[in-house]
Amino acid sequence: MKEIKLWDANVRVGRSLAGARAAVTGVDEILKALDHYGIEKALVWHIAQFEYSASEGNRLVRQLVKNQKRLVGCWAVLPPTTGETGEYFFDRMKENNIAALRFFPEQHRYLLRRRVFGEFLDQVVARRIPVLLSVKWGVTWPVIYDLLEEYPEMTCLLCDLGIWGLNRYTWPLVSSFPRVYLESSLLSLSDGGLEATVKQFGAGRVIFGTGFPERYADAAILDLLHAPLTDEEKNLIAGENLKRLLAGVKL
Amino acid sequence: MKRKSLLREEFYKQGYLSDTPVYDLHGHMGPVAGIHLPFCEPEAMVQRMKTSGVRKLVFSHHAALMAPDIGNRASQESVERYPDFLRAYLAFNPHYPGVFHRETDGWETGKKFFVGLKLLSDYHRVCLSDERYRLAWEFADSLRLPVLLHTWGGSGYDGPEQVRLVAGRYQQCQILLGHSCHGDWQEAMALVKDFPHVYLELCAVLDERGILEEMVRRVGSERIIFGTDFPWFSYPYYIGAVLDADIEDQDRVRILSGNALRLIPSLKD
Repeated sequence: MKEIKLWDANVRVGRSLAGARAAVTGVDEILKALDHYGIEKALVWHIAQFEYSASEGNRLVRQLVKNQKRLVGCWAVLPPTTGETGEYFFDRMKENNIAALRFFPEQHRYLLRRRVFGEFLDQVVARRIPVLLSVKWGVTWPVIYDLLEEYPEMTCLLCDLGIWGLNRYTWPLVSSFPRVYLESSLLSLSDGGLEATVKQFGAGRVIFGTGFPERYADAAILDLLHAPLTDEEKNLIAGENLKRLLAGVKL
Repeated sequence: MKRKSLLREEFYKQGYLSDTPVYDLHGHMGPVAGIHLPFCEPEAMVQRMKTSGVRKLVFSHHAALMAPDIGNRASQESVERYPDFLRAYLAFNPHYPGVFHRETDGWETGKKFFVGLKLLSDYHRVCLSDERYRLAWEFADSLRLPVLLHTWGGSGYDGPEQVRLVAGRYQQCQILLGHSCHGDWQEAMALVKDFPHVYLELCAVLDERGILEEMVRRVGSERIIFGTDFPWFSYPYYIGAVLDADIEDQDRVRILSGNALRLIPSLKD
């Protein structure tokens, strides 16, 4: 197969308060890792957005991705009513090379639903900003299902999927909501996860991610590289789908 | 910067390792309650093993572990069909000792299919050191068989404290710590250091980066067994994780291949 161009939708930076065996911090370290794995571009978030403060974590992401061509930032969002999200949010996203959002409702103690986010999420949907929801980082399946019922056109990337109930939880969503995508880092962990999903929905609904540095990036790359899929399907998953989503963001 | 790995380069290029046949000592087969497994029947599994260069899988059929009314015959039938690729563990359910008596009566025949025992205490809700397991432990010990345990950190059934009790009692068998007491890595490594017949096993370990490196550093790659829960976890993913770990190629060869053959030489047949 020809060389595939990898865009990684799931890279975390920063040191965890609880310590961790694997962490990447500065830009140089991240870019060196991307080079090692042959990854062209990465969508990054910072552990401080989850563990410490959404706004302070967002500031760290902003500093990290500023003027970087190979890194794009992901900001964490809080309920608009407390004013913590700040004014001119979407303008600031554009100025600071931020193209996607993450929500941590359990850790940040709010309900991820229309009653709380109302028009703000209508804007997110209209602007086609990808919303990354991670099962590992506290977004539960009932929350995801309810959110998509309220915002059925939301561009949503489900991350860190795990193996328990994987297809039974995700396939009804992919089948019902046209802009729901599955991030591949743990979809690849599941034997045949990629190919079964592609067979069911086509390669347009899976987006490559590694979960680096918490997980071994080679694992997700090799599962994609050697999956029984066509070159065209692999290229869509590897980078083209994410590239298309990011190009469609209106800020 | 990471060490260069010829094995990694080879797997990137072709999706299998030419001179390092992989032996997976922790597999399953058939459907399971909580997961949709797209390729869990023996035909598909063997095909996928071939593609990734997996020479042999030692497994316990989900039915053998979770459906006493079907039991180990599901494993045996698959080994009979694919003897070049499959061997099984005889699953022991402590609630049904009579079944085990019947199954082990014909061990001379059984040993063609079964190379050891599998104990799943967390699911069967009986502690590893419980009297109801004595039958299985004594059987394995007398024949010096490998015993693959499901082990999980914090479990009162098969956590490190329970493993320590049985490892002290039964020292002729080889004890494989399936999942390496998941999460309680330090205790798992301490067990391996304290007991020469105890081994770490990598299933559900490799989705967290860095632990394998620590295991190699602390107990040595000779004491680490490759396992995947296949058809739960993907071979390219799991072999890829071993290839990505910051260890030497000679460690990878031991983990993926050599250690399994040393423990169960008949796998080469």
